Amino acid sequence: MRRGKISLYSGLIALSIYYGREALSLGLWVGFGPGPGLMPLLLSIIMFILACFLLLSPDGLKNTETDSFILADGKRRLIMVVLFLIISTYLMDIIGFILSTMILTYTILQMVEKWGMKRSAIVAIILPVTFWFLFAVAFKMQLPEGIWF
Amino acid sequence: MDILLNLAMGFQQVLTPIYLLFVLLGVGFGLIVGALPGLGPTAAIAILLPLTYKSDPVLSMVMLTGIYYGAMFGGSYTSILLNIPGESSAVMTALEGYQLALQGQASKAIQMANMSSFLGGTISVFGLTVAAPLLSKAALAFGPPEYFILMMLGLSAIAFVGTGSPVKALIAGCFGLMLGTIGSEPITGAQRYTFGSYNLGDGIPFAAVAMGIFAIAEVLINIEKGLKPFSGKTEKKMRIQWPTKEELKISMSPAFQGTGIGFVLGALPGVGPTIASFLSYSLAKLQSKRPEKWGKGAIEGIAAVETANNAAVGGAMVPLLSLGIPGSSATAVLLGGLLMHGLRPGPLLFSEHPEIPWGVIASMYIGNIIAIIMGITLSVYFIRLLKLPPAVLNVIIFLVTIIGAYSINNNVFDIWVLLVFGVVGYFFKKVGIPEAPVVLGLVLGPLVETTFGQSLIMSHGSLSIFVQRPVSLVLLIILIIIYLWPLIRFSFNRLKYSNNQ
Repeated sequence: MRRGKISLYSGLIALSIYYGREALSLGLWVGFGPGPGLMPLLLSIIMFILACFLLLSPDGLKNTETDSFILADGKRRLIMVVLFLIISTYLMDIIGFILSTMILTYTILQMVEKWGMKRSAIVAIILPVTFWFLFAVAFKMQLPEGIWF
Repeated sequence: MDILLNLAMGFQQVLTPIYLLFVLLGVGFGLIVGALPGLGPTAAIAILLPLTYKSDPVLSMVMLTGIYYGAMFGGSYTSILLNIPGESSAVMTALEGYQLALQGQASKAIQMANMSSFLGGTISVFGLTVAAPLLSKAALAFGPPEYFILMMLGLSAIAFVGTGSPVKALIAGCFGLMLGTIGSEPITGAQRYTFGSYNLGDGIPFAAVAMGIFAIAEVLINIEKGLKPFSGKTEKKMRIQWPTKEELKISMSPAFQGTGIGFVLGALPGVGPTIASFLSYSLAKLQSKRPEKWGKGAIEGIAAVETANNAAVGGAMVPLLSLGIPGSSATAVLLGGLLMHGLRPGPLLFSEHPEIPWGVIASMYIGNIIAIIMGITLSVYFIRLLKLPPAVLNVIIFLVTIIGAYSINNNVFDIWVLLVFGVVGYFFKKVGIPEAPVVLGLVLGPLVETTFGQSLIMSHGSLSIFVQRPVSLVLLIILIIIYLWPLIRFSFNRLKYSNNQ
């Protein structure tokens, strides 16, 4: 957990430095009012101070819930779900909402939850189609379109 | 006397089967769209607007207004049950409501939300009835300096929405404000931190960030722990659970205060229910006798938020009906509805077509009663969501949030934003950084920057403008008191202690 926290706080420090550097190039004052860079600069200074405080203070690195940042037995499940989310989002514009969410639903149920293939397939068809009817047909909302719908 | 006569005329008109049917349709549709993320009241009113083109103007306005306040009622349901804020104004409801749902008190939280929505909604309609002309003039006295101090008051909520370390809450708030600076700069129009992407030109969509950081992050945490998406207790029997007398008693003060805040802020163009709910929540927490309970399922927090965001609807109707100024996107579409029927809202509408404003006002009284009855009845079915198999519930959350994010701009880019902030929210949760200040900063950041810039342009660069205007000065004093409140309370307690000694 400690290593994870150090990485996150260091990331915030890096973000504040980048933000501040960009802010300076945007201009701090224009005419009678603040320029586009003033607020980002102030925020980057505040973020830098706060993130440094957390990184250096013992309270900031104190354990919260668990000793490990990502639970060892949950790591695989977590990575798989994030991966499937990324893949289905990438496919959204190519194959459309229904097909991409069918893939997402099936893979989560079958590979992560370890449901049976038939049961996963039935739910993977019913859920996306129901949502498509509710939002795209009933509420006339636009959903990602691909080769289908 | 005139008010009573006009109101009686409005009731006479609305208490007919066809009007009641249209109120029912509007409120029912509003409740559903309010509960679904992405499809807010503005979009819902816009969808139904063309359908009302050929109908009677009062009838169509009654239905469209019903959608507006019905959506405020429904916005709390998915916040409480799934940690997905259906509306931006329901973000703070998720903070307390979801914790109560995890403790097996989802029904109680929803009933508190229903009752508070009804209270806030009804009192604000009463306010609209009696104080509309007065308040609409006062609202015009608000310029950029007053708005700036008001936004700073809203930002003070950052200190009160976190439950743990104040430094982490400030980091979250600062991160949200930084996100708010992405896109076009509000005064000069300069592009900031867009990396050349036109998708970022309008900034980061608030709804996608809120859904990612609250709902997706929560699901990721649960998946990591072993696929228990609703990791709390669920009621064995799906029955209506009411708040206890004690809970109602402690919720009274936040509820009435929230109603006042919501109504007044709702009447100010551009402020709306979101800021009203943030401010009401933080003030109620500040005054609470059990602040340690907040963020862990304080039922009075739901009362503070829900009264404020529903009262803001009545408040938002004040400038619309009495001046013809839409204070929010939803009231702008309602204005479009009136214009479509050849009517121009403003003082003349009350004298030339009194049946329209008074019909709408009377329908809002009746609509609030219909909304609470429907809300209580439907809540039993909404709570059944929690009985679904955990894996299915997870998938439903993914699908609802994906649709909600896509519907913002009909662009897959917003789904990517949802995912990125889901992961950011996951890491923030892991290290104990609260999520709500991120959302607060993102909402208020651009408004703070705009009003500050406009104020300085007005005063030719002088900060004295904030103390020269009476309304701004009063707000500034309130702001200083709020920031110094912990110190004042500490000194007061110390004095009391030394006197007792």
